Amino acid sequence: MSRFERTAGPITRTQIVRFAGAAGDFNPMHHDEPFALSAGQPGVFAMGQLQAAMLAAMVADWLGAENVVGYGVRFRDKVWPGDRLVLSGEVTEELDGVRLCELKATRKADGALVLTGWARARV
Amino acid sequence: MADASQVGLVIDEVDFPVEEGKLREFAVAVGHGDPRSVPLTFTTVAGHWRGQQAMVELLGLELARIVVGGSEWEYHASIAVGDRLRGRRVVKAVAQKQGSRGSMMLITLETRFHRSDGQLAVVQRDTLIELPA
Repeated sequence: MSRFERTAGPITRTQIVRFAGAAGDFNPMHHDEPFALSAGQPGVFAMGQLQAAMLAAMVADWLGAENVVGYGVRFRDKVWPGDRLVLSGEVTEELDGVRLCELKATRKADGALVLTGWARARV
Repeated sequence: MADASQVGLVIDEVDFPVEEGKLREFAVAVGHGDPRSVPLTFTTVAGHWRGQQAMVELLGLELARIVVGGSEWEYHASIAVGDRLRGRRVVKAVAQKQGSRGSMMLITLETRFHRSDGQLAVVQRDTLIELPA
């Protein structure tokens, strides 16, 4: 498949807390609403590594985790509880048995780009 | 403030087990559906074994001005439940970049995670951005 897309979410506070426990990221900005408000945010928001891992899970389902030789993301915008994400990837090049794919995650409600990324995978 | 003299600086070292429970928690949190494989960004669990505050202090950064710009992973060998991962986090690059609001510093940190048999398994790089004051 040269293109793959799926919708994920909505992101919940429970999911953010579960990921905090999984990854060991207990920055209160991501789970403590009064703290986030006092820091001038409208509320808690997901740690970028949560959406990075969600996009990576899509890549693993699409290309097979065992084939992936590299994966990377750039964080573009915050993800909030309630957001649904559209995760997508497209093969842009194939060279010496390795496919280069461009990836992105956008917020379903307004199309805002939250992550861009790439993956390299053996065919 | 970060500067080029910090390239090569060792920030910290971790040595931790790849545990089934942590793997399960991670997979459920992110929607990783294949129970036979380890999520591609699983090395972020190293966060349990090293402190961001200590890293920020060691590099002389101001936490309020730091954002993570991006992360990337290279996969060299498989990892599975029962393995241990050991890795040293080092400053790989420090670069200055002109932004619309002033000069920013880009700090790239690299951790090369080795399995207990010595095999290099995963290389993770994180780029921190120190925003203009």
